[in-house]
Amino acid sequence: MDQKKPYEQTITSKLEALPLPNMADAIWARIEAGLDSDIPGDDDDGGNGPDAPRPRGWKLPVSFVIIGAAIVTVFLLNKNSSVRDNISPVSPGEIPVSTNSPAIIQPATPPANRQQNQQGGQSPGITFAPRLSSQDSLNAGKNDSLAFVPIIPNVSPDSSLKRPVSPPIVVATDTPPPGKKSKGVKGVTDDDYKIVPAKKDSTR
Amino acid sequence: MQAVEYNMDELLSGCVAGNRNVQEAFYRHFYSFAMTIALRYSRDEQDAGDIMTNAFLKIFRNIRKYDPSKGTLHSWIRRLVINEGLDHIKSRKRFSEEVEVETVADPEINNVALQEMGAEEIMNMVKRLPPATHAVFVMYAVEGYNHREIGEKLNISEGTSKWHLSEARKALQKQLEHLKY
Repeated sequence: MDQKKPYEQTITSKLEALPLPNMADAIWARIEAGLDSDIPGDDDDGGNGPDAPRPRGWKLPVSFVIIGAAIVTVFLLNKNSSVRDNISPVSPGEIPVSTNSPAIIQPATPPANRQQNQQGGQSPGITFAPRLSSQDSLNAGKNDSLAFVPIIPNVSPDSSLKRPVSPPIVVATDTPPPGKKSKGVKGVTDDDYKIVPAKKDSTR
Repeated sequence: MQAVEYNMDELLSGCVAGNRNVQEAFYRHFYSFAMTIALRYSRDEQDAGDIMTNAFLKIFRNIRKYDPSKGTLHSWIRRLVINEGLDHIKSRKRFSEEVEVETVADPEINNVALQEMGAEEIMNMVKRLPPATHAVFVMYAVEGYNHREIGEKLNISEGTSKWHLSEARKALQKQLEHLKY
């Protein structure tokens, strides 16, 4: 089985005489290109010391990163300072006193009011919504002005405009109420644990 | 431009030193020898060019490792070109199909018909074989490897190598019959 057959010898001899393609120059150009690409890698691994030139092209990305970091830092600092400037102390009269609804986000404020609010030093996006009492509702037709005036609601025990109050949440816990836990068993004092050596019985 | 003649020691030492002119002389000296081997493992000249390029890059990168006491420079180059050719064949799809046969039929091939054929015709017949069968046939029938060595090189069993050789013989016989009529 492993012996070479006559036809195999014929094939071998024929293949030895196979005409070669004229590709020597083209192949050498590719080999040369491959060898040229090896040279920088070899130099890098050779460890030429501190005098060896650093590869080009590293400065640009590094400078981009530094500039980007600086821009982000300046932007964040400016943003923080502007937010701090926009925050002004709010007088108690501006906040409607209500136990149920302290504040409402009101995005649809007319531009005139928004401008007014901004002049007042408040944040333009969030304003305190006026709460109208029953009397204010009656007067609404007379007063066409949309001026934003915080109004303290009249809350009375008899008021029919009571808001539903959510029931208090009771959290069931198995743990006893906090307090100092008494030590030991009731009725037993430290003296009960005192060990006194028994007196020697001379009779024994 | 006049080509500079180098003896073998100068070629070797120049290649080790990375002298580009000596490397080119070395390549041109072994071009015919290496290309003849590369063509056996390729389907066309482009494949052979790829095998040659990769093989000579490996030769120049590893020429420091060449040990004259372990064999001639020709056998070292031949081994590298064959390995590159096998890698090239392996990269073709459907190489690693697992087949195992216990008894291998041994078809007869008309040697007279082969002798009448030209080298290119025979090479075209071999190129039509499936990749693994092509590799086994060339390694066994042309390069002279045995089935154990082929199995080690191609990561296949000896039985699989024998099966591929049998398949190659059958396919070549079929092609010869087809050509005859």
